[in-house]
Amino acid sequence: MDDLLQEFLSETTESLAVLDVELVRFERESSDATILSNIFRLMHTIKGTCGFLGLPRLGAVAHAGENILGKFRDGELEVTPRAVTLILKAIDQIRVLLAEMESTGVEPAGSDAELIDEINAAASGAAGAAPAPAMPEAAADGPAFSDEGFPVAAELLAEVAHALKHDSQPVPESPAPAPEAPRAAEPVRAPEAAPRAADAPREGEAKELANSSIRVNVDVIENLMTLISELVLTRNQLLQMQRGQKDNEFKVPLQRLSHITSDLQDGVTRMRMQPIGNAWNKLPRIVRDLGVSTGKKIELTMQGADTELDRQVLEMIKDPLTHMVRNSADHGIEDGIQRLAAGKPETGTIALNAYHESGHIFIRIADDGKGLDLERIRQKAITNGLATEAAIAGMSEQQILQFIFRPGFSTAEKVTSVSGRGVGMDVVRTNIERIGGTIELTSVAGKGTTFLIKIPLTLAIVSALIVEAGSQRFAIPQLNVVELVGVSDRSDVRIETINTSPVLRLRDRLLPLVSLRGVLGLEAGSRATDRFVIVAQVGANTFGIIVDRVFDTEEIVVKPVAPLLRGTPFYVGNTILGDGSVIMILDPNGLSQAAGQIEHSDQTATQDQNGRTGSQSGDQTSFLLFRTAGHELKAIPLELVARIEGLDAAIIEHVGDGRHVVQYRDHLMPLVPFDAGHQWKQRGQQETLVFSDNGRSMGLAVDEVVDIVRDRMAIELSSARAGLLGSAIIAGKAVDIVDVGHFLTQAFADWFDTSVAQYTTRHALLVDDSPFFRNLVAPLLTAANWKVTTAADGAEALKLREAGHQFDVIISDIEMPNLDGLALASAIRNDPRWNKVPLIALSSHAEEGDIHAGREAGFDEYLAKSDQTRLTENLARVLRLAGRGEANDNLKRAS
Amino acid sequence: MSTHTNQSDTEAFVTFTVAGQLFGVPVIRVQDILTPDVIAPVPGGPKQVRGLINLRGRIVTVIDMRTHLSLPKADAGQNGMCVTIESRGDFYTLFVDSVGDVITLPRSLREGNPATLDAVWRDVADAVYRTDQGLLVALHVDRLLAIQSKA
Amino acid sequence: MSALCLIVDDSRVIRRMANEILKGLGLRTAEAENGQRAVDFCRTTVPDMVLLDWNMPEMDGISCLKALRAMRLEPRPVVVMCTTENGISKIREALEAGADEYIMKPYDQDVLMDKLAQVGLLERA
Repeated sequence: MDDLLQEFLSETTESLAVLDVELVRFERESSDATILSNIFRLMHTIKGTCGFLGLPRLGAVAHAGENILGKFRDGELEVTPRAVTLILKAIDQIRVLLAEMESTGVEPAGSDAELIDEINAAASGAAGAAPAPAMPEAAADGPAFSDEGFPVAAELLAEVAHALKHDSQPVPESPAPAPEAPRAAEPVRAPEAAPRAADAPREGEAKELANSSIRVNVDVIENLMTLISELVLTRNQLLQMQRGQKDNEFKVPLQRLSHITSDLQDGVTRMRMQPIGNAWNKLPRIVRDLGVSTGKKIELTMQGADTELDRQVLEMIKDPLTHMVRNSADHGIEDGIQRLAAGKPETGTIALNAYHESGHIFIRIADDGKGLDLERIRQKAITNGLATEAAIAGMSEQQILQFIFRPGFSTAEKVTSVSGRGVGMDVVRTNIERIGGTIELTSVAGKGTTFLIKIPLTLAIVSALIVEAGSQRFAIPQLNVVELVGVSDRSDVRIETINTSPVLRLRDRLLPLVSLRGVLGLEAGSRATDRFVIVAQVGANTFGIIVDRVFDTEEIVVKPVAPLLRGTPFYVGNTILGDGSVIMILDPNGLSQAAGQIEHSDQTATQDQNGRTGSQSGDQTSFLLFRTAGHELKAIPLELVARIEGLDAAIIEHVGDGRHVVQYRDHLMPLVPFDAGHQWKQRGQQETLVFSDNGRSMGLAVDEVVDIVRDRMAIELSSARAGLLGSAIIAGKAVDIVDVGHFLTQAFADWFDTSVAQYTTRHALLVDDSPFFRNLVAPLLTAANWKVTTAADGAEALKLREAGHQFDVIISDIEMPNLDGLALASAIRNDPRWNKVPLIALSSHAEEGDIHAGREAGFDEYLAKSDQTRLTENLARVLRLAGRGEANDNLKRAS
Repeated sequence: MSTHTNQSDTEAFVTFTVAGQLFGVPVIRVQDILTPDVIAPVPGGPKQVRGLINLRGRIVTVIDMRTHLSLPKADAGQNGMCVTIESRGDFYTLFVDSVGDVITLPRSLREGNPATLDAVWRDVADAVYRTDQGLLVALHVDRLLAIQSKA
Repeated sequence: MSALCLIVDDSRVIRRMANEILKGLGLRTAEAENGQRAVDFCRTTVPDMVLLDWNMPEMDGISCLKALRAMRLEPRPVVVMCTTENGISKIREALEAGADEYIMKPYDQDVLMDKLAQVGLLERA
């Protein structure tokens, strides 16, 4: 196609996009002459260029649009939704014509007479109607008319009007869309105030026009990006080779090359960054049209439109964002009458907010509508067979809300043509997760719904471990790899099965395992005895992946999978290795789900054979289920258990005052029965759960080890029975959760003693002025193998610091006398002694403002006391991370 | 090579054979034709996806046409060729038995899909042509690839 | 040396067209997206001619024209205003502000040639 034509298509398309946004703004602020003159100029330019390029059909439509805009400008036509809709129709028609031109290269034959007539009719129909707010003074000799019947002086008059309004010279410097001119009497917070932040992209755009910028074809950038990636990889190889050598003349130039490459990489990455406003610019129009068609008043505010992100990432979130905004407008925001009845302002608001934080982009979509209907979701879940009534009854609000992310789930009573049925929240979430992002949802009935999306800044080069299974190679992101373990039948480290679930004994822990071959359906091949387990971590879950071979770690360029392959849950992308071979990049999240796909009788997993276990991703814990004398099921988090032994009853010795011990691996291990009335076997096997710490072991004698299951850790606390923390629903069954600490101290009174503890024991500081609460939370910590020290308020806590104590995590209430949580956090962060310790806030107040204040003060995580079930779950998750001695940013990543 | 094929009275096709049936795709949609080197399988992926290949630094999805068009499986050891096409920004390559010539057919020989055409093919066929090599099914590239996502 | 013409228009399509036409006529060209950039350009380089659009963001044609004239550039560049409107008052306004000529959009090679000859620029090829 003609280059010039291509240029025209691209320029005009951009202008149309701006026109859309500006027109919607103008409809709301019809007194703003600046916006109008901008719109007019754009339409005018389109008309002008059509004339130059000999495009009469397009020109005619643009002319009609310009005509009606001119009427607005002269105050001859009232700015009504109908009139604006007509202009929007003209814009749409121009788009249609442009699209045809793009594929055929010529202006399509035909006429748009009907549309043009309609527009012209509207333009002339309201002659002498209500005057435009800034009534321009006619020039002394009256407006002259051009050939096209258009008042020529109107423009001049508009400038005069603008000048009069803003009290400057008759010919202002420029009617640019810069917000420097005072908006007469429009306080920023007025409900009808235009999105002030929307000025930002406009201003940015105007500035951009003023700044030097050049246009570069997207393909050129892509190629450049690929080349730079190759350069980076080659640079790494060279550095690798250099490392092995002694100093030689290559060292210095190589370092220089390395710096330059890094700078290049940064530069090109920045080139690919685009402001998120580009993905947003169609939204005002969409919301406006939705408002008109549904008769609702909806306002869209956008903040942070100039937040930049990678072009590819932008492409992938465009549709999800649009979908969510449509949902809010269509299903979230109520109509005017309902809102007023509810005491809300008549105009509903959808607020978009984007910002950068710690290497990620956060996008918030919040509406002040009626919120998600929990009851309806519950019903829908049951009707669709996604969960049983019993399971639903036991779920928290958050868990119920998560159902909307299930495929095919739509709670809209009538599927309106507006939001459509095709795209669902499941697709939204999948799209977001595919680029390594997460999406969270909060909703308050009657108040509104908020989505928070978190996505990585770029899809870039990552370090990956190359492994092999079933003669095929795969890559696993290094980020998720904790450790590599070689296993064989000969070594200490062995793969075992507990009731058909493979687990790995690793030092003091038992890890659930997943076989890569098994999960991908690869050929079994020979049962080689030497295999490898990749110890992987996803969020707070650790598990092992069994592979045949392990190669090197390589830096790879992550390329997203083709659309066809997006349904497969195990891959997060694919890449080309240095030798030219294409390999898939595994998604540890997808694999960890498979690690839990062992049983779950009445859970939804059984229906979901091909895909994930459940809609809940992450935050699942592996539990060991066992029976004791009472035949009731008990459970313990699997990772607390070091080993499961079937001890030969004959070797168990009874040593005075009811104690039992056994010779176990070179030392005497105390055996503690679960119940006091435990009948010790004389012969046969005594099932024992072994706990280890610091070289000491203790065995808990049980009747029968039943199974290993995966579920959320949602414990109902009750301190009724000794030895039990409370109960939980695990895999659809009610089980008691064992308080391990109780038994540990039975075996060794000093198990938690400071003097015996070494640096590997994890030590938590619990700060709360309520003794009741201290007593409630402390056992949770000890059950998770923490040593706990308590303090009644911030001041006491700081005294411990003065005394030289060190902790691995500090959990603190906020409202306390003497020194409250916020002040404590501040004091901790500003002092080198404790400032790297993970800080968790535990408070009865968990409004957004509180959470924000908490984080500002220095807390890494903020948990609410009120929701007991989530409390244990969250605490467990957060503690697990803190316990690994990981830095604060890991905590943030998981939160 | 004529670029504005919709204006002229002939259409140019790259032809290929799958399980004895002759097919064609418009020549302007074909990026290249190659003998596949190494195809990396995608375990757990859709059946039609034979795997992925590295095409000058680009990862291209290989679609097994026999599987996709529900044709009988090939004999073991039978090789194939790849016809690379682009659709909506992504590259795909069709794994076929053999690739024939580029032929230009007059539109006058073009017929609508006969009623006897297999249901699956009807979706992806744009038209059929009676040629001296037999019936040629002209494929509609975008529809051919659209089916995949439903599978 | 051939004459230098500064093309001032917010539409890059039009700038490009004008560029091609003028280059075809043997002139050298430069471009500016709006009045402000045109003024900035003229601070360092004085063109022989300015082809000035009326409607532009940041600084429109008339304002730019007034600014250029106020700069008293030497030698005085020929300014040709162009727009789609041709009302008498517009033309008057342009001329009063200091334009030498007025040209209607869309223009083509012949029209420009005419104008250039009228202002005596074509001889300087």
